[in-house]
Amino acid sequence: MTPRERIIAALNFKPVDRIPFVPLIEPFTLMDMPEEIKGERMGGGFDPLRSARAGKALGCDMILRHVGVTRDSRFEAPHLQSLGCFESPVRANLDFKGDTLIETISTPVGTISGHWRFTDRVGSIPHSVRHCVTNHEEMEIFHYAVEHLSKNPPLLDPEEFFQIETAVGEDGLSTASISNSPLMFLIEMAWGLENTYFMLQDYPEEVEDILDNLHRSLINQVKAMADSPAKVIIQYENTSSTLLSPAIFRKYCLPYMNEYAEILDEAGKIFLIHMCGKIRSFQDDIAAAKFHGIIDIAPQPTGDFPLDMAANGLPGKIVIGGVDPTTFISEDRDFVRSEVSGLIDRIKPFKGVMLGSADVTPRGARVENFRLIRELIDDRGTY
Amino acid sequence: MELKEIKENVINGDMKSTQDMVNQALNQGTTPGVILKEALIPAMDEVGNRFEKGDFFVPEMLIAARAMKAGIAILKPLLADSGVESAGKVVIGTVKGDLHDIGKNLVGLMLEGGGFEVIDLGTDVSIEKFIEAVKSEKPHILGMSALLTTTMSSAVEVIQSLEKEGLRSEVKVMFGGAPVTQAYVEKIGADGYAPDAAVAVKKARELLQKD
Repeated sequence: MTPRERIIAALNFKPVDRIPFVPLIEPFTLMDMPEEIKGERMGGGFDPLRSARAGKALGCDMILRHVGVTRDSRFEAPHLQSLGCFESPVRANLDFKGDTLIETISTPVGTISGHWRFTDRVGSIPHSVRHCVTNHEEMEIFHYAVEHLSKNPPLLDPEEFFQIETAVGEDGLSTASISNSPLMFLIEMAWGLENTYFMLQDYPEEVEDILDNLHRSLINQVKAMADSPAKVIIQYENTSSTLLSPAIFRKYCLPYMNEYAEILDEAGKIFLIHMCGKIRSFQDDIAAAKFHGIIDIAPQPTGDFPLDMAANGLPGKIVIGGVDPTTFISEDRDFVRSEVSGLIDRIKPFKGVMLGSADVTPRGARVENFRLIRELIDDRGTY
Repeated sequence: MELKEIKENVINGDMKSTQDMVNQALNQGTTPGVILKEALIPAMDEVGNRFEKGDFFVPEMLIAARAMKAGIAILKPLLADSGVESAGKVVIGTVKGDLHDIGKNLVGLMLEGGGFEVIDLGTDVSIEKFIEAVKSEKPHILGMSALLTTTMSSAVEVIQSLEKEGLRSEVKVMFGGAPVTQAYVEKIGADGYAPDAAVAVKKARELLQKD
């Protein structure tokens, strides 16, 4: 089978010749790789083709991430507009001060801004250092802004998608992305963990109205994905009990995600959720959810849900991931061999399972470890 | 009676009622030290226990910690006058190059709830800044956090610098974060590891009891 055939077969619970090996490779992963692996960067941001070339050289079957299918018009505030763009009279603005990116939302009722910083160790993904909502007054401004999110779906523009699919050919499969669900957007992108829960406790009705506004906007993204050529849509949700309780997940995340799943399922798409954290507490809810599977699943220490436990505990769901970042960077070949060979043996009886990275493959991942994992799959993971 | 109610309000994350009840208890003559040691600290210990058992999760822990902090804010000026000592002083921070703060903040909140004095150096803390804080604050514990495999090694450099400066025996070192394990902490020569904020409080107490 070609990598593409193998991935598509696994996504459809069909037999495969060997366990697919689909780690998430981002520019960050490649920073310390040898030149012949990392290749040349073709432009700013995520570069699916560079990841594809590197993945092939490392012996992977590539599930390419974040391949564009819509025209991105979030330039003025890539984080704060990730669930939709603001319309007049709300304006968004982007500014850089040194290593800090500042996104500002201006409204007739006030102005708020969030700050993100880069460091040399975190690579191309900036981290929030100042949230745009830290008190009730700022939340009211945010509330006004989300009431002025565009009612129009993003414009489909699948040219990049077709180009990448053609270039990658049988080496992999392209996927498109949607943003995380409204509450996780507030936690991760806009308000931060503490502010979100404090606001939710102090002003529940107002926060719920904000969530509904964000949801309506995200539905537009989902409908655009349903009309897109992408076969697989991934929501980068980051569900984890380090951020949520099962009760909060059940009340504020799952109903929205199920709605997205229904739209995408009806359009014949496969809908996967990126869940790279501690998700064992959510197992029953995930099992009953309407999405088709979860991807980038993590065992300890970064997560708490080994891939074999996911395969066994989530019948009918596609499960992908399983190799922890600490394994990819390990200098101990015997440790890697023991971790991965045991895992291969345990997941082999299941269909719809692919071996990948737990979250993204980290910077510092060793080429020898990729090669060893692939050898182990060829040795023990064939059918 | 008020002490039990204060404790319940903290556990339930009811900040306003916690403040009201603390003020009421003070007005009725209960000493700040008693309110702290018999209501606020036991409340957060109970929150930690429920977290460990899986009955509480991060949202419940956060709102309980906020209620506890509101209570402590009322007591703080009075505690200084009444000679009540903290459980220990802890300097915390996220290591150089790493901007993640959720885990570090939770540990700080839970330590405060456990009666510790917490000095938070923030994120992306340089080795020099950690060393300077150990020299100037003279903490019992230095707590470091890292979320990335690329930043974990910064903790090693801090420990080596503590040794070089002759400070290593002066302070216990705790290290935690998503990719960090007990084995890694032992390997780099730190004193304590905790997989979550609730265990961090227990580990901090344990380290200080050994002294």
